[in-house]
Amino acid sequence: MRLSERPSQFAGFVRARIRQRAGMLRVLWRTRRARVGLAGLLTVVLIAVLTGFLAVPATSPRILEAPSLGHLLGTDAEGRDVLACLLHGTRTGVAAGLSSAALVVLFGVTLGAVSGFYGGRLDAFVTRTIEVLLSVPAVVAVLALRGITGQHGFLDVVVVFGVLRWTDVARMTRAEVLRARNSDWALAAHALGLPPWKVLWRHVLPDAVSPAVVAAPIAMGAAIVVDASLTMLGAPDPDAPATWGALLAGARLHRDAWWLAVFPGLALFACVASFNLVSESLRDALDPHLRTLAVPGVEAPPTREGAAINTRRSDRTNR
Amino acid sequence: MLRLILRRWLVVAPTLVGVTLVSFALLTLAPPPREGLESEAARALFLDLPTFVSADPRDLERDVESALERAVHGDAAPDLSGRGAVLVPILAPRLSALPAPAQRWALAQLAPSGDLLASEAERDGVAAGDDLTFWVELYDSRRLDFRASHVRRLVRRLREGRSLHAAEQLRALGTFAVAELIAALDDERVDSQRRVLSLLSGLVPQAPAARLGTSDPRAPEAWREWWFVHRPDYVVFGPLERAIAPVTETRYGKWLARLLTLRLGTSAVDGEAVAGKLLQRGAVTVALATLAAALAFLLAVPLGTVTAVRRDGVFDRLVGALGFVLYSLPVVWVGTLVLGAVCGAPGLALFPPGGLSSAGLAGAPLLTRALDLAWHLAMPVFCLAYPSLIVLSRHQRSAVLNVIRSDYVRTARAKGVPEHRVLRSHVLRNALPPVVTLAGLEVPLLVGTSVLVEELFAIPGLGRETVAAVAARDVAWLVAVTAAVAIVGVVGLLVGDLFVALVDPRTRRSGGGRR
Repeated sequence: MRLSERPSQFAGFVRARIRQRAGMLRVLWRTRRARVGLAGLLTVVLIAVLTGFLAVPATSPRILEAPSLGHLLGTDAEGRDVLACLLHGTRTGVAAGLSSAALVVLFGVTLGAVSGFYGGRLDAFVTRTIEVLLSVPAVVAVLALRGITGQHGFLDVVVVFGVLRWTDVARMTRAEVLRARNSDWALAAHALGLPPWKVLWRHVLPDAVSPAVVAAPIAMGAAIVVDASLTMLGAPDPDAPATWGALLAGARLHRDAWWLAVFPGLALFACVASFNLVSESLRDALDPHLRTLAVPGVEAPPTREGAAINTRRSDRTNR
Repeated sequence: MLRLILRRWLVVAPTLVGVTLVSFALLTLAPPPREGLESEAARALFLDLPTFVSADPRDLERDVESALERAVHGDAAPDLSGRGAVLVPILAPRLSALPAPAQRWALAQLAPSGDLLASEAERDGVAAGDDLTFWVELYDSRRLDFRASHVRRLVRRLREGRSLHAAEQLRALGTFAVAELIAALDDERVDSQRRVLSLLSGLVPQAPAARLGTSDPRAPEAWREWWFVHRPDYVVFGPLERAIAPVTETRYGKWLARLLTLRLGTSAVDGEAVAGKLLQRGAVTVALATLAAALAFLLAVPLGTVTAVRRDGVFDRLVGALGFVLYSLPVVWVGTLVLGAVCGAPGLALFPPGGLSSAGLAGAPLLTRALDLAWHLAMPVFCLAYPSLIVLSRHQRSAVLNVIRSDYVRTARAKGVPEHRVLRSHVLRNALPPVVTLAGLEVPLLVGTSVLVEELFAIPGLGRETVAAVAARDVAWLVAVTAAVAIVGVVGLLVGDLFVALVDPRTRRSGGGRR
């Protein structure tokens, strides 16, 4: 190919890709579930960004007040307004979720794609590592890390997700890469003399990232839940920043203060539910073959062999 | 079937090694103790050893050799006199052959043992200050005492309490007797153990275990722990041990030895042995997780099948929507609400607020106690099981949907097989294996979740201990619990595989392998 041809060819490539993505988005927007989920996701992220301009909730002597007009959702044991704490806690949650999901996708796609594409000893090593890491529960790992290093923050959750939870994405990406590697277009690219990394990057990977895209929102929700759960169960710390987990920890101490348990829990639920909705509708939009696991009412064509197994880890992480 | 089990275990072996490596990585993250790298705390973590391979593993002999080397060259040699009488059989026979500076150093190291070892008469026979003659003559007459078989005989007599002199003679042998005395701790008889313990505290007063007293039930384990760390200080390795020492005398080697011998150190929370507590608490957690997995599986199969057969019906939609909502609810939150609503004070007191048994039921009949246990377990198991129930029933639904469309089901229906038989022998039989595998995969997750649930419902399992250990920064417990939970997870996978082999003859014939 001559060099002069390349720009126009590249533009064509980009245009085709954009058309493809736009089509996907249109499919995504068509269902109500997706719209609700995306709206929820955007709201959560927006709150997280906007509360950066909000003052940190201040302590006051009016402790443990039930919801009233002055404090719409009541106050906690330090006299902080629960609504303000909730809004502020969104930042921690979104930070933990986004960075965990980013690490999970980054490591998962890289290792899964490389091990599936190149195979051999590397593949055997990655597969073994995945098997080992799968058997370590994230909750226990985060607790151990917090106890051993003495650091209590969402960073432990991010580290553990980066180290342990990429395995799901890697397994699914690997399976997809194995399939796409032997496709006609990949073989054609190979026959044209493209270097292997280019075949992988340009012709195999675009066809194999859908499991990672589907898993990302779920990893996000899971990281938020793990962080909040473990903060809740840890020793109550009056100096702790206002997070959802800290509010729930207060609810464990003050059993009569129902507003401390109910509102952060609802926030967590709304967050996770919208992420799950986004994930499910992404799955439907990206790959109609994987639709069998979705909520009833959606047409479920016969699955490819192993499709159910491929998705199985994607929706097992929310606890 | 047996071959399948064996093959699966072989496949799993590298995974188990990986698990030990992961837990070891956690161990290396522990910050070094504040007292410095030479302290007792640092040695208990084996921070003085190399990580994976030791080029020159040290034992008593190596220590003495390198110190002598330095003494010969006139450098300041380290003070080994704290090792006590174990130095006698190594240094005494070589005394006269040593050059002067090394001799001076050796005599200084031996001096503290001399008072223990020699009787007044032996002391008197030698001119004061002529230590060299004293030691040469002493070792000549006592050489036979410094043999393992002699010490073993004395320790046996001490254990049985037959000889009054055994204790005296062992005390005279100083630290040389420690190895056999530690081995004698395995004798569980109280009086024998007391005698051994009091002798040990006299011989090695600097060991932390010596401060515990002879009647403390933790003392034997504390001594064994001390010996596990300090053994190379007091023992000359045999040829076999020396050959493997480059691998075993490392931090990872020691961690592996800890795991294999279940010597996992003592908890910083209450000073108990970690391994014993781990087995005791782990049994509760594993029972809870298994119960939840079994319950989830047994409910998920009919639920998934019914929703698949009546696809898009009212029930299917209801279960789907309810499942989605429940699935997005964090377990800890559901647990908190359940606790507040139906367990105890503010809400209905339908279920107990926590724990595993009611007070005052110690002498009750078995049935009453069993019912009480079930009453206590109901809510925790529900909280644990519902996420798995939803996941498994979704998968069961999709598996049944897949099979129902297959040609052989259509054939079966076409030739007039009754519908219930089609379901049972054609659909279910083929839909079950993947779901069984998944149920096995649920076990590690359930063990993780049960940590949360136990803490909420005050159940004395691994979870409570672990949360307490986080607050106390108990490294020994945290690392051990991670390894244990991961091993339980691997075993859960294996059990799942075996159940698949039971349900699915195809896996059996082809000799295993995941599908």
